[in-house]
Amino acid sequence: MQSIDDLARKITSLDPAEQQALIDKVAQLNFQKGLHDLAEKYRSRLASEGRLNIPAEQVWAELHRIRQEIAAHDYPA
Amino acid sequence: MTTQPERWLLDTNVWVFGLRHDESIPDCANLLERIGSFSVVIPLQVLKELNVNLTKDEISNFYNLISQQPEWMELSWAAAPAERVSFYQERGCRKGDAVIAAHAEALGVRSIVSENRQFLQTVKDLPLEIVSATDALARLARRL
Repeated sequence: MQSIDDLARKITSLDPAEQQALIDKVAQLNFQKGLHDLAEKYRSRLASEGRLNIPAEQVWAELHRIRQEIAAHDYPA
Repeated sequence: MTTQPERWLLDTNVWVFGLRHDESIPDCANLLERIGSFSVVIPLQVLKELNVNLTKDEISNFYNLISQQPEWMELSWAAAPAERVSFYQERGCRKGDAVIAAHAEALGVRSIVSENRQFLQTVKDLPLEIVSATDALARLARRL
């Protein structure tokens, strides 16, 4: 496996546009890893509550209820 | 010439069904995996709804993720203009959906990604478009 120094040298040998593309890609992959970890945590919690496999219609009903309650509170007119 | 990435408001249902990996709407998860190839706007109403759906720890993780990527994750804590909420309500949106539409307009977002069929069918002949996750993915594919 390459050392960090070797990797850094290889990256600095790239032209600026390639370096930027690489930086952007690393940022995107880091974000995706974080989002994947969050999804796993969320799914695990829902499973422990017995709510992971509820029908989509039930999820929709809950989403609609939450939406309308918040909107009614924030925009009472 | 570089093309600016699309800037979309993802409705709460896209986040929730995507994070659940719900098999009935797999493209919500597929779309979340593409964040970065488009930028995301998260308005106050969506934040409040996610706060109800996620635990304190989960929402903290979510905020951390967003704060790491300000180039393509944009949070807005501003309330939607009440008169624009009324405008969309008068055109058939339910109040909650009208808030989302008003947020999008105020934040200069032209496209809302949502699986809410009633929302999809209601907003016609308006400056906003509502697209499904599947349509959003197809649009990204055309840009490759």
